[in-house]
Amino acid sequence: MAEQPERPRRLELFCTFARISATTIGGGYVMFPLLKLEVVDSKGWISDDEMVDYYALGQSIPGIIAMNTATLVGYRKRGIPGALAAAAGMAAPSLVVILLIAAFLTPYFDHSWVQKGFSGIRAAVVAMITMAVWQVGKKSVNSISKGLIAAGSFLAIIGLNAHPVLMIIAGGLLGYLLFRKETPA
Amino acid sequence: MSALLQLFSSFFTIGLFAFGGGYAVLSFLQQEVERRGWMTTERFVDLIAIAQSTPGPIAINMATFVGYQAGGVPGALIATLAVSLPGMIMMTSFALFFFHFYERPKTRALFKGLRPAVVGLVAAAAWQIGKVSIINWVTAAITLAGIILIAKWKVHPVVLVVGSAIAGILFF
Repeated sequence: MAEQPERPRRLELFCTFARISATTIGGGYVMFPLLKLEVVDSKGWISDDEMVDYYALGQSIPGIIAMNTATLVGYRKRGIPGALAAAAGMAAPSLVVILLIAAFLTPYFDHSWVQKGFSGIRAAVVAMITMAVWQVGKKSVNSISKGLIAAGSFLAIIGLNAHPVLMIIAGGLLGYLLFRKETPA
Repeated sequence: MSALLQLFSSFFTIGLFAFGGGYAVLSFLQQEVERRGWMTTERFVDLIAIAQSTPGPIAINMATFVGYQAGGVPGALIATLAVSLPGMIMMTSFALFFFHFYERPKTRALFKGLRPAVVGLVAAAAWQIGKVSIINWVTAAITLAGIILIAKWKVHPVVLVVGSAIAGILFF
């Protein structure tokens, strides 16, 4: 970790991941654009490529994708205390919001205007994920073979209902076979 | 106390075998909720909707909610901690040695292939979420407007979430 000059404070890790969590409505995939915005674009803690790598590892290890990814980014920046700060930040908004809802708001949740609002949000979420994946894809999918891996992964999931972790493993294997002779870029 | 221990062991097990996030947790959790009688099935279905449409990771939201139903605020804290712990322990143990290999050429080659696979699978998620979310011209217009706003002006997600909620309320 010697090549990491900037070391964010644990409180900053906590607050950043709490912000990511508070703006993630709909789980792991929705987190993808917000993770990019906060950790890559705004803080510059890791690169686009690193983010995709950590995200893939977060998915490939059992547990909650968002918590795993937060743990890894936190660890990378501040060791185990950083991992704990980032993970705690990720869980904090859920705890607050869900406890409030469970205790007081359950009866209001079926109101039609609440449901209408969420229909709008879900449509915007599609735009957010699409744009994030487009921006990341422009960098990491930069050859025909990589384009084929991306297309294969997309189609296998859409068409064959393949498990995402299987796609990550297959992509890693193909990468190893195809690119191990290349000079490091 | 034994109820809280039971919560901890149930959610720890769920976290240990959850492979691929919220939707993987769902089936485990449903079985466990029925077995332990923590809440009714109707309540559980409501919970799924709430967990998906409130901020935070879906699995964490579900754990907090079920934990609260089963054991109040201490139950919520214990369930959330227990479901997160296995992944955090495994991830940290993995990280201890992973970063020594991360910069090596063979590891880099592996990730060069892995990244496009992730791009494909997140694109697939956008597609699948789009199929159930873009259900009429209003939602299609919101998605299109979102894409233009992000591409042209890098509009912040919070602005998009608030704006799209208002648009949903006004135009549905």
